[in-house]
Amino acid sequence: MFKKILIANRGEIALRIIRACREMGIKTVAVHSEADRDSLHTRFADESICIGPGPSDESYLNIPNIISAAEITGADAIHPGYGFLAENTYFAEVCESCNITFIGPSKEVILKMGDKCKARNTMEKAGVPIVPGSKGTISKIDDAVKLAKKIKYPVVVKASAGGGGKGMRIVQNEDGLKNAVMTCQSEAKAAFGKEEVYLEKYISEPRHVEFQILGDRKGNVIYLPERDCSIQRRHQKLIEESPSPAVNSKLRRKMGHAAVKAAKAVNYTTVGTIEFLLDDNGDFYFMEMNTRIQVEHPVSELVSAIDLVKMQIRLAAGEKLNLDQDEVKICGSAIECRINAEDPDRDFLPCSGRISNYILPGGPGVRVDTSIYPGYSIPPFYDSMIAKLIVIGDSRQEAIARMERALGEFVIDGVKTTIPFHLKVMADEYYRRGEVNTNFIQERIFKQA
Amino acid sequence: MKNKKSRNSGNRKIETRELLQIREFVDLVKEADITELLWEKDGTKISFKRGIPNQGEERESRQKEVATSEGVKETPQLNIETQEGSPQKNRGEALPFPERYTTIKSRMVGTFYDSLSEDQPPLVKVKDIIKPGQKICVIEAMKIMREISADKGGKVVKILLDNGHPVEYGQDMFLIDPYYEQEETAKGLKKKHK
Repeated sequence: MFKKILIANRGEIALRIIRACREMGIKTVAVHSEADRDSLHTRFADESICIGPGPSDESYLNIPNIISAAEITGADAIHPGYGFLAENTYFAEVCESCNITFIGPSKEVILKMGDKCKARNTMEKAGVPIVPGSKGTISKIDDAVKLAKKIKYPVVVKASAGGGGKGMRIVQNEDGLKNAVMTCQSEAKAAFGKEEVYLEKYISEPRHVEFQILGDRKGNVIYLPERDCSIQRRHQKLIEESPSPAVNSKLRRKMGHAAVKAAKAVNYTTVGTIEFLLDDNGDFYFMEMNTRIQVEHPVSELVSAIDLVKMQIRLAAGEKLNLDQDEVKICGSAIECRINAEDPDRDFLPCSGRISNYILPGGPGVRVDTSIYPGYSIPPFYDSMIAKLIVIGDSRQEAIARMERALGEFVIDGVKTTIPFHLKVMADEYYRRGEVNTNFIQERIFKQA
Repeated sequence: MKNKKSRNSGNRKIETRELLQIREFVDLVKEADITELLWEKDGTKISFKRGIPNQGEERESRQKEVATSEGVKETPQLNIETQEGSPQKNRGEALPFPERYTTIKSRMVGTFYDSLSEDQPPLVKVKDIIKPGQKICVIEAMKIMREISADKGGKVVKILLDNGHPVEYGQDMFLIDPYYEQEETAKGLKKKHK
């Protein structure tokens, strides 16, 4: 097992990893920017090192300084958290060459799954259902037109290197296709440095259902109960729950097996997530794989009673998976709300500022993952998520009631947050019936207002 | 680099929320490289003026006032130096040295060495006069030795790191007196008078 882990991240996820390490008896090193000198991850780690000024490209993305920090503190592993360097092949490679274990997949796997187009091909070969679309990237407009005719409109043009909803265009008919391909190419070039795009059938009103998977070096892979992340705004997840109200045990097994197949196709040896689109007919399609611990991992932790971060550390240290698929249980229904410092009334405008005071919700079945404290100033350099509120109940109804109660108890003074927005969603009758898809916020919440 | 214990000790405790907030503003002013900033919100008014250090005599201390809507000064005696390398800015740990002294900070993370190699003499000794651009130390990062040049000149008062000691971003390495010339002239004048 590792003796000392450096956490190359900030905020709640850095704290989450420090907590896991402390319980496992592993020493921790926090790295921080000058803007995060007083943040909790800096305070709670055994050691802390300043690695640069506020802007993340000079600090949390500064690979030489992070590696040096690991070297001078004698850390034998680096946990990248999510975002920043979590899916950076070069970083994984540098760690390897410096004899520091990167807690995540190998650079080959990140490379294979990071390129959305390559990932599609790998999955198709492995027998995982994929959305009908182009075999590879499209270079000629004529090919795109032909293909779109075959798979029928609407179609979506996507950047091969894209993700997070960036670099994609939905096209309704042939007239719009040419333009979409060109703008998408230039957008992709600007955002990701690669202009390759591919074409897919657009699944309208799908659900976003994803499977947490765990793999070890012996080739064992298991899946945990699915997470439904359909409540999104501009492809950013806002609410996640597990299990999905749209998945029964038969479908769960089917999708879970597909997820395991997907992971085995790339010899996956850590924790990761296979994302699927699920349509009304119960047909599902591979969307992408995330080769990191995800923001929404706590819902799976509560539902399966498995500590994913500890598991990830053990797997990185080469330990064998200590449970079989049939030992994975569903112990209730869990929901997570991402509390962002954003003003829902002003188009979710991020609000940086100082949290003058706050009261955390508590009681049975409530978990809060956050790194804020009274007097905490939200730096303008990073993302706006300030807390994750996660609840578990015996049933989905109880979980919703509990979430409503916990949101009501949650007080954050000084900045606007998305708490009122989450309360609106919890009260929505469609949400309560579990009738949601990725257009839910646009269709139900904004239209009402 | 600090362990948990020492991080929470000393002056850090005294830092009020206002101070922290103002410090952020000061950093903002510095980053944007502007000389003046007026900020007003909910009856709180903060105005910053950032000066170029006066040659010679004592530097003008820049005062920031935080006034509430009732016009009561919350923190009337708040002096924060926006000057590069001021001890105040450096984690609030005031160094027991005259205010005109400044520090040369590390811009990278690594291991500090005072000479080019083990058998070489230190690049810089106390009382040396250094010029901007002069090689002053070596920092090892990722097995690469990098020669570090001074970003400002002056007389070395103290070397704040031991040879072979780890160094983090923004850590003070050299305490220098940029106004040593005036000091020496003043001393010389005094001697003449005697």
